[in-house]
Amino acid sequence: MTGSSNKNGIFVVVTGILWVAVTLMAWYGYWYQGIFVSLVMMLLYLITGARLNGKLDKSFMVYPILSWFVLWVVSFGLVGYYSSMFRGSAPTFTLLGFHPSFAWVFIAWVGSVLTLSLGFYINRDKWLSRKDWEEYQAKIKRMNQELSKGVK
Amino acid sequence: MSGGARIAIALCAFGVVVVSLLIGWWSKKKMSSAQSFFGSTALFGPVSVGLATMAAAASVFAVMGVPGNFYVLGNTINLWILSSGGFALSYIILGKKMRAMAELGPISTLGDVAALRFENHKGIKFIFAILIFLASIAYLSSQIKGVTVLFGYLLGWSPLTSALVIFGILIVYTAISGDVGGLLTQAFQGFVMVVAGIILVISFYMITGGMENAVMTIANAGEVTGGGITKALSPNMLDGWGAATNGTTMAFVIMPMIGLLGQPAILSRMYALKDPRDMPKMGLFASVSHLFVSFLAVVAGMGAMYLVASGRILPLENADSAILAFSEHVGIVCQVFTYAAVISAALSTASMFLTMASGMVARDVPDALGMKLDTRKQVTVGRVVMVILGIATIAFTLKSGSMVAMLTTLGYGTFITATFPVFVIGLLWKGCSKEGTFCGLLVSLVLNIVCMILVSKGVKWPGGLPWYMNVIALSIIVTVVVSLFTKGAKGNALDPRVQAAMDL
Repeated sequence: MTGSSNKNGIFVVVTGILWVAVTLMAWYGYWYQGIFVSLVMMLLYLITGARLNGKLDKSFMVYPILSWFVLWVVSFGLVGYYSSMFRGSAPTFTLLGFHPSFAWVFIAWVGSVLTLSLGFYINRDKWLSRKDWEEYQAKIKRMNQELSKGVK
Repeated sequence: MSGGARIAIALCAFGVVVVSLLIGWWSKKKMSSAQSFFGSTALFGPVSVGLATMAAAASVFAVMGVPGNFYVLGNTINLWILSSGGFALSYIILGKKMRAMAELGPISTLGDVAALRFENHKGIKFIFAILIFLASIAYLSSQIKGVTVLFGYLLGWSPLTSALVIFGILIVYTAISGDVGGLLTQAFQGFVMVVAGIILVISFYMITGGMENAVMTIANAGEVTGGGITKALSPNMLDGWGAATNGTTMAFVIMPMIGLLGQPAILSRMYALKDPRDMPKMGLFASVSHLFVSFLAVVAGMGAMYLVASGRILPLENADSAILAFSEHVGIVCQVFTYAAVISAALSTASMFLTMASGMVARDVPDALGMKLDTRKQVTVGRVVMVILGIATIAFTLKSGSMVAMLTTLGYGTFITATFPVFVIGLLWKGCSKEGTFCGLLVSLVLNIVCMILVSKGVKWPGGLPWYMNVIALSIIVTVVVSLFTKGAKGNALDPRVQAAMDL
């Protein structure tokens, strides 16, 4: 197996461990910290899946992947911060009309579309270019022909 | 509700059903093979697939259940909205690999992709089919239940009449045109849901005078009593975590994002797309349309709570009626679109899972048992199975209350326990072996059934974590660990064409 395959293997094994870690953290009451661990897990999945022939384009890594990751880490940090600040009482101010804590859920929500969905669209060629797809199709066609010759 | 309003709502709701039937009838000419009947493989563009994916992912629970749960739990349930970004996340992670697999051979169902990846391992295909079948029936049953309650409330129909009329038509158009008609009707139903979302959001801001006024009114309301019911409103319900602050909250952040990747409604649509390079555009359509539909659920719940807090309506007897109470207060236009959205959500999810379940029964299980049918026979058997399964599910839903309650425990989480070992680990990691995946699936099947029974007996899980999070973690780690020590269908032993698909 190639180096990139090994890297994917390590990432997938780590994500498996992180699923267990997140579950155990919730069992023992560390559910808030578990959210941040789960974000790292999602980041690893994104990096693993976005690779093209074992390589991840740096600009695709920055936008959409890291932009989303940073936005969500900051957002959920602030969801927790404002939740603790106003737990048990009415908030003294609102943000975008919402409770300040939920406002950061709202920002994470709309922000995920502006980072992940829009960034994915803008940088689509770095995820899969026409050339890459056509080369893949040609390769499969060639392999299928060889396979049918072998069968005959 | 006035008689005129009832008639207007019923006409619009039936309008959605009839248009869906016509689309299904029209699209049967596009249905030419088992691939198109069961999976719409490589047939459609990003707009239709994007809207259809969103509609199938947003079930009756999203439109009626989320506002109802908000009335009880507050914003904990609104974390569900985070799935808007989950579409792009899913496509980035698995989109091109899944679509690339459809170039290797005739792909009709997810089971076919699993067979290609794992050297046609019968055990994997069989257990995977059983898990997807169980969860599909659970989803189908929930949609039938939601719609029968709705039409009982609206027209005074018996559950059997409502189910037979609405789902009878759905069974007919799905059986005629298969997934091709299913996908196109889902796209139409998704469009209806988006329009309803826009109308409800505008209505909310007009009724409440703005989000800030709604939030402050609810936060300062305390207890509200009326009609013999007391509703305690707390500012905690409005913060980012809502009333629940435990493992449930954490699960509701994780599941809408990475959990969406494990939904067959997402995975199977990856190969329905004609050109994989359109997947980013499809992600954008699904995400943006989902923004409207999820905000519909947020404002409907918040709107109902605001009306109760401000004394404009009495506290609700049944939390699930939150969206209906809000739209009834707003007026006839809002009501018409609310009911149209609920029925669209039910039909789109139901047709998706009826096709999925029949594909498992008509193709994947017989294939796993060594029975080969030619393409034409597969479609015929698929149609017969669809009709039988549809009618059987209606009967089961209406006659076996306790069994239905138990079965509907399965669903979103069950799908993840089935698809992660097979596709997420299987297509991302060449080191994933068939033995590992088989063991992961076996653990999933056993634990899903055990948990279904335990949940029905009221067993609570550590840390307030939903049962399925534990099963997902265990099935994934079993798949990984067993793969590390076994050799089947991994590394250099993999079909070189599968390796090429995984390299994309």
